[in-house]
Amino acid sequence: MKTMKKVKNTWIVVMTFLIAWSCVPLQDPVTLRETQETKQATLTLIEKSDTPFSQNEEAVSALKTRMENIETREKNKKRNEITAKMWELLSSDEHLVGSYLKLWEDKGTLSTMFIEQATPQIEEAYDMMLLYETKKDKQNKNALTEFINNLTN
Amino acid sequence: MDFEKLLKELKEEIVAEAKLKFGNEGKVIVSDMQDYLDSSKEKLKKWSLLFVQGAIDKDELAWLLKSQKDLLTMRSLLKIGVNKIKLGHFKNKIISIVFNKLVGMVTL
Repeated sequence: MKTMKKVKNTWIVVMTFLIAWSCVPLQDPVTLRETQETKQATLTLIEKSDTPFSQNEEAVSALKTRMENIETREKNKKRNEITAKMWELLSSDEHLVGSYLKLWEDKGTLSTMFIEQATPQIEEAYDMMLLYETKKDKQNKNALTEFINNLTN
Repeated sequence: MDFEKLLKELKEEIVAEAKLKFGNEGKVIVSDMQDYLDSSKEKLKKWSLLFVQGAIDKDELAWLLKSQKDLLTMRSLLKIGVNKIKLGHFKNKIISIVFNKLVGMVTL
């Protein structure tokens, strides 16, 4: 009986190690939905960047807060470094959306031609993030997880 | 505006600058920058033209160039991430094989 218990515990340890070794990032429907919504909100705001920044300050601030919240949440997830880095590239003041909003604030208004050229750049960045999220596993399909659960129950 | 000439000059200047600052290690930087210039060729061409025509200003041109670099970084991240997922699936497959083999041996 004692030997059986020892074997069972060894199995659990070995399998837990193997599962940890094999883990892939999991798709988060909330991230997927919020990325899509933030993309839409960003593009809508960019469309307005030929009008004075001062008239859009509230909307800009709301977008920044939304992006910061998502970035923080993504950074706190396990095995999520790539998505977190992508959000950083998108939202920081030195990159893509963050720097676009900063440029708008500094200049007051942006030219129509610039908006036309910048929009697909930002759209492409969001599309890459959405694509990556959809590539992640929808759930942990590892049959061994079930096996461990059965053993531990 | 002779864009091909501009691109050639840009490449030469980047190579010279990287060699000067980083010596042999500069080769990697040169390669990265050449990839950047090659994959962004059409966009760079269009943006340079818009700048020359005065349709966009210096700050806007700078933002567009920087955004292209950010997109290339993002593309690299996407590639790394997708490869990691594939590797994870491969590892899962290995575990399944090991698991089934062991279970098969025990239940024999």
